[in-house]
Amino acid sequence: MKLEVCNYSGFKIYPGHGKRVVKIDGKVHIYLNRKCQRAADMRRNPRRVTWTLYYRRKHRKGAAEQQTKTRTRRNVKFQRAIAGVTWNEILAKRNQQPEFRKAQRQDAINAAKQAKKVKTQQKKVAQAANVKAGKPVKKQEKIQKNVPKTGPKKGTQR
Amino acid sequence: MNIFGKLLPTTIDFITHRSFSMTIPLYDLQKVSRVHVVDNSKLALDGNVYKRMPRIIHCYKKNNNLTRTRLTAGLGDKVLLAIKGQMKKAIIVGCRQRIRKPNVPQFDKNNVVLIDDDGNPIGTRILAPIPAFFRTRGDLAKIAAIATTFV
Repeated sequence: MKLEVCNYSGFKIYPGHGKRVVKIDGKVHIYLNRKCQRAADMRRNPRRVTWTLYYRRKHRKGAAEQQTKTRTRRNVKFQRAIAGVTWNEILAKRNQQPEFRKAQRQDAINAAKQAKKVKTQQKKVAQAANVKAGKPVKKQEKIQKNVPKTGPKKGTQR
Repeated sequence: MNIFGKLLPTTIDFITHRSFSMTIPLYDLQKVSRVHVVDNSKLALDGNVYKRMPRIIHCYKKNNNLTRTRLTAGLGDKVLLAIKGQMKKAIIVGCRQRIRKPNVPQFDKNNVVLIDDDGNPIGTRILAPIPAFFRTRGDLAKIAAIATTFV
């Protein structure tokens, strides 16, 4: 036997219960009992009538509804390459050991110092030569060269 | 509107001291009952907008225990209508009376389908839902044949 569902309250209608009414527009309404039929005739919206299933669904009463609500969205972390740097390069940089980085830094510092030394010596020689020749001494601007290419600087965009 | 029509005698005791019995208003269809024709025949369409609603003037019912003045008709019964000044036979396909049989619905209007003297429906289509038991009853098979929806 097919179990009907009350149009108004949402309850199941077992055989032997309920009433079927055909309205003027031809729509068929199935009511569980006179209470539902009367409420419908009074044009009461079942979504506002507390004891009906439609009200409970709308206001999310009951434990089962709460469980289905806690399914939240998860942000997917996606690893990808950036223009100019491949993913492998990024990984290599990320996986560098701190000792390695320190050593690199040291090398860079030494190289810079060396270059500076050479420069100052050259300048002295040039100045001496100029003084001998009687030319005016130019003030040389210091150009800071960014020597360490693979130097790990956190936060730089490449 | 329905509430006032179904007042039981006990509920109106406060109105009068004299108690008199009152039968519950019945939704039987009988003489002078106004009726709604759900055909698509010309007579039906005209009759529904005529100055007077189609009315039952006689109920054909065999083996009726009621007197001639109280002949009533229900779902599936043949009646004689007065439409637009004419007399026409019809079959009741929907009534407001609540019939306590399984799977028989209650309608909001008393619906009727016009037939000729042989029992063939005049129109070609029925515009309202029809009770499902019309399919199984032999004498109503012609009506069921032109019906669109069943309830």
